[in-house]
Amino acid sequence: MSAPLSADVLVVGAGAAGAIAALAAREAGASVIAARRAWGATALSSGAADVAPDPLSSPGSPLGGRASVEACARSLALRRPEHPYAMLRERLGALGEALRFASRATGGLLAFGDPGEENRVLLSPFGALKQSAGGLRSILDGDLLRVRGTVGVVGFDRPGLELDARDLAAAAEETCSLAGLRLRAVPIECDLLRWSDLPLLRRHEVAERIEADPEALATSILRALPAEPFALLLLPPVIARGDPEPVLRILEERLGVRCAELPAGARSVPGLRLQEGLERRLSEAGVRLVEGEVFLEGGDDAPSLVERPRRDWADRLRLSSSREARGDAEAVVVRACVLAAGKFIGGGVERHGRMREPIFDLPVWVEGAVDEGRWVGDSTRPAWLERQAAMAAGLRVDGSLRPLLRDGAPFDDRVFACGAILAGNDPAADGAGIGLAVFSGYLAGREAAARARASERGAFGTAAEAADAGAGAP
Amino acid sequence: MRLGADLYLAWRALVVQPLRRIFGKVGRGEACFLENYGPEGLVPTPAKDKAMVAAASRCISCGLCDQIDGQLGAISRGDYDGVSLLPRQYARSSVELVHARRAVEAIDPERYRAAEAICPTGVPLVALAGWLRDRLLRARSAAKELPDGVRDDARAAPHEAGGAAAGR
Repeated sequence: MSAPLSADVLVVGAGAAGAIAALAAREAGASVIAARRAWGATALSSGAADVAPDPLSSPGSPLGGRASVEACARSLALRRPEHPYAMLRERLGALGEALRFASRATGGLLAFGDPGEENRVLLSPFGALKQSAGGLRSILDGDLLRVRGTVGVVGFDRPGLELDARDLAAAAEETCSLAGLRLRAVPIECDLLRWSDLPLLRRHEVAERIEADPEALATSILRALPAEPFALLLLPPVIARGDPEPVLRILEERLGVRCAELPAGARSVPGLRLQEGLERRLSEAGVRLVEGEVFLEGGDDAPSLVERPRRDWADRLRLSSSREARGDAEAVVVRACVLAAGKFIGGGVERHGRMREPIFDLPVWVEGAVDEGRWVGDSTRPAWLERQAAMAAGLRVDGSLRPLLRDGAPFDDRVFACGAILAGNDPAADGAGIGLAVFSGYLAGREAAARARASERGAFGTAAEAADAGAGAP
Repeated sequence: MRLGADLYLAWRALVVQPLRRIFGKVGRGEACFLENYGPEGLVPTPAKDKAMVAAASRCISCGLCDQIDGQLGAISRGDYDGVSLLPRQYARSSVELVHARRAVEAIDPERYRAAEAICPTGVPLVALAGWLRDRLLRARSAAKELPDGVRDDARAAPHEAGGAAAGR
């Protein structure tokens, strides 16, 4: 075995939650290793970052009472006692601090408004109105609350790439009318993909072509642009594989209209940009990003109905390139660990007979109870709009983000969890995906850094306790 | 009519087949399997193949691998439309693999390293690509071992009969 990897804090996962946790711990002075097995849900995300939707919003009233972002999060905590916001109710006051940190630490890649203000309102790729506290700047520029007048919905006249521009514009007008937003939506079908070899290309390939030649897109839109004043042009989220800002500036200059991207659906190019941008920021911030799977040497992977938490983990943490290559694993020596590997896609929660957290074998909670292998059909519902209990499975944590055991006691003072791995949150149903990842990641990163520092000094406690004791917590 | 059919089956089962077995007219095991199913492109599935099919079944069709596929522009789009086809379609059945043979023969497994590294569920794309090429060879050699009259039909993959897109 080679020399061990060592740091103050190990963050397992490098999606939105893991990256923010790593950056927060780094800012607090800790040395950090972020280990990711692969890309996960962040790379598949829309490019918007939602904290919580308005509690009064409904299909008939898409914007509800237009409460502030923080009030929406507090309301979610009240309505859903199992939700991570409820577990962190006492700390929701730090939401603004976390969002500001994310904007700053990601170098503006993720932008958030003030949580005292209402959500931005974006047109979803399916014509609904999506409330979002932040996201990629190129997408947030499409905030419909800031628009007065006519919005052009640009389509590429190619079935399958995005929703048809005419359908999208018609849906936008209808939902905006329900929401009390006075704006007119006009479809603009440009022929960029019609007369070229582009029709066969996938989304990311289209994005690469447009990024290489934005003038061609501008010319194509100009040909289709009706002779009327537009306040905003919304483009399919395939305008660049890398940084979309130069493309948007060229389009704005040529067309004389403000331009923005729509949030993406499945096969998201903005999601890729977000994931790659976060990884770039981790490297720039001095976080050591390693690829591989974290596991405990000697851990018993044999299926068992009841979890067997592995308390003696400190000397047995290992990193291998894959599950099959565990024999060549490297030792990992850290003072604190943050679990941010997401849920099923990221590998933070697995199901082998029962749902389990694969590193420490912590209990996974489903609908308020520890899962002991109930039939998966009991955790799912046939109608996709119903709440899917399995999608909200995960680790229950205390106010310091420490995972709890079955009896309610924290597993270990040095282990924290954040993001989609937390129990009680179904990102699709609750509208709290990357926003929750950012908030919980920020808190967990700070807690882990404080714990690592306290451990170095031989003291114990959470970030708050360490701060009280003058242990140097940020 | 039913009685006649039952009597015929009984005659085959109790008299003809035992006699053919005794006098060596019936193949056994893999040879028999290949004789019966080889022309259709169906090859035996040993334990290694089963493990690879199980690994391929971990694919959740997220599409991330397609977005950094090193060969997407290198092979004609009519033949190949992304590495996710390997676990999602090509690995499913050797019978259908012949439909995709132009793509499978053109792929270079080593160019899937980057795509494999970002697969959320750890599908071994490099090994899978190598295995598919091997499986295609086996399927085609199974067809070649047939008598001349049968071989021509078997080797004419549906792809040449206008089924180029069938593998996609």
